[in-house]
Amino acid sequence: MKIVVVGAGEVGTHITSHLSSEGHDVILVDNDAGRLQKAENDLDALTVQGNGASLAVLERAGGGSADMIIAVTNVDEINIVACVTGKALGIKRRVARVKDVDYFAERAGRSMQKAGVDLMVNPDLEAALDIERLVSLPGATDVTDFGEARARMVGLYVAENSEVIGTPLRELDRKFGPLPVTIVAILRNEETMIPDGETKLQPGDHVFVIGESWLMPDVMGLIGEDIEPVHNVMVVGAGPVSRHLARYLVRHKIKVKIIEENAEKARRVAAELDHVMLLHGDGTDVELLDAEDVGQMDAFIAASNDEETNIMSCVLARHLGAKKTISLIRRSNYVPLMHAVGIDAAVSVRLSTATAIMKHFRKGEILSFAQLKESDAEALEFLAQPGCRAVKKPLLKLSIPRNAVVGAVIRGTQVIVPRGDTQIMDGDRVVVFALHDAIEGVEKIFSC
Amino acid sequence: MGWSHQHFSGEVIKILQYFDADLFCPDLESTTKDDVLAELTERLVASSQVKDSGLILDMLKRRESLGSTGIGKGVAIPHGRSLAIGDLRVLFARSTKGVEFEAVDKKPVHLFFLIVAPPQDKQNEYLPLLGKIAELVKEKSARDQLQGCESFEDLSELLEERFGV
Repeated sequence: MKIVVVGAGEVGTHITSHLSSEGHDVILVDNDAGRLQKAENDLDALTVQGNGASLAVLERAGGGSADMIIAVTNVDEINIVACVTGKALGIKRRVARVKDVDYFAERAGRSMQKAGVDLMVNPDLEAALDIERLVSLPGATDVTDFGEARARMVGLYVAENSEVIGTPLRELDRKFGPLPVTIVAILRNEETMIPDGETKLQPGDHVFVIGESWLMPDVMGLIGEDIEPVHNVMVVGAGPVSRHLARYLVRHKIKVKIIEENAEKARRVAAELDHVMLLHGDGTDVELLDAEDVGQMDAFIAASNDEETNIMSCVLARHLGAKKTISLIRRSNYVPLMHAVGIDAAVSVRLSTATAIMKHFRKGEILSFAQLKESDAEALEFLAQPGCRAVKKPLLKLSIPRNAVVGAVIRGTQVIVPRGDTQIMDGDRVVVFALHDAIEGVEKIFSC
Repeated sequence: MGWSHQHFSGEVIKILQYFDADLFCPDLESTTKDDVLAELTERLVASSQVKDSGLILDMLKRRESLGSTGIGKGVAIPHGRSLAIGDLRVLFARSTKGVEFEAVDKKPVHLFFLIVAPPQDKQNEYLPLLGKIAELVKEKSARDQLQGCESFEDLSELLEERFGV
């Protein structure tokens, strides 16, 4: 597929790197020659310098024969116009990153679609949704839904006293009965491995499990620490991510306190949000955190604009007794350090945005997609189409690549934990977990 | 490959042993989620060796706040582990009117399976049992049969037929 990506910032380069590694022809457009130079060095993509909203520039980028345009600059209007121009050039699928929520209002949204924007992805909203999923499942480092949230993939750490430690995975079924989940990956010593029957879990392993969404709290209790429901949450920063998040949490009857440094902003947001307590202060002020009972918080979320401040706030909050800490981050280089300093989970606005976009715009038959923050492994949801190699054969006979595993099969409303004799049927939705080198092989099995 | 590929579910769980004639309640009266949880707990207490109904009810409510056990299609499986019970127990209950239970599909719930286990059950059958029951009720024919069960004997027959125990 030929894809034009407008904007060579972090989201644009992330998407470009993924799509080109999967064999798509990607042309990256940006105004900034320096950024393009860097992208050219790092990525296998063609670049075109210029305004990505301009017809002439998009034509130069080969827009006339492109299948898709993904506009992800920092400016909403450039992204929208790039899609409109893309439509004029005959590009069939068009997606824009749009920050201003006004563009999402019902009438505005419809007019955007008419004008040529197929899909608008709001970065702040995507990050807030990712955080909300993490808050609602204490103990989880990652939460990703598949098949309209019927199946769920959860990342968690194996507890010191967990009963599953030291038993080969093939024996677990005997010891605990057939478990209603698949353990799809283990992160150990910064390496991602796909376990086999002989693998034994160790305390501190970071494991990823897929199963029926509603059973996840119970499975997590078996593998990880016991989990307690969330009643009180503290958030640092009253920016757009925090405001979206607060609205979700309040809907779930969770008490929310937001700490904001800027007094004027704190007042404004207090007036905007019902049932949320706004405090004026510094999220790294130990006395303030202590006075506001951070130790009683079930979750502490640092979502200010400053990444270092966020990490610092989380470290303090954890020290003062907050049960779960989540930091909003900008770059991913800090992620491997997070657990070591006591931060339970990290959410990146850019990665959340890129993931949301990729979900909709990968090869036709892929329905959903999630990338692990700490490695290049991915979970993919395929639609099994009639005639593809995957259907009507026992899984054992499918020659699934070594570094890939089928995590769940979603059939109608049923989530099936796959066994060797499970057969995929036409119309099933199949969640596959794969390391990067195995993705191509997996895609072959599911393409017609 | 994950372990589940190499392993075939060998042992059949003897499901029927966790049910009991005293734990068959085809006529739930409550109409709200909290009331249903309380009524289910009461019925469990009345008929089995439960030490503290308050503990059970708190546990069920805590589990619900981690995510509703209303799994859709009119079925809920409230469950949890508690010190207040000695053995794994399943209570079947039915509401003719249906109860708003915050189910995933937002539809009222008619069929309830309350599953309560001690903190450690010897055979570790609690989680697989949850999975088995969820699997059962996902079939429309099974739900229809459950709606029509008039007695514990009907329920036992259905379970025997479905699970071969």
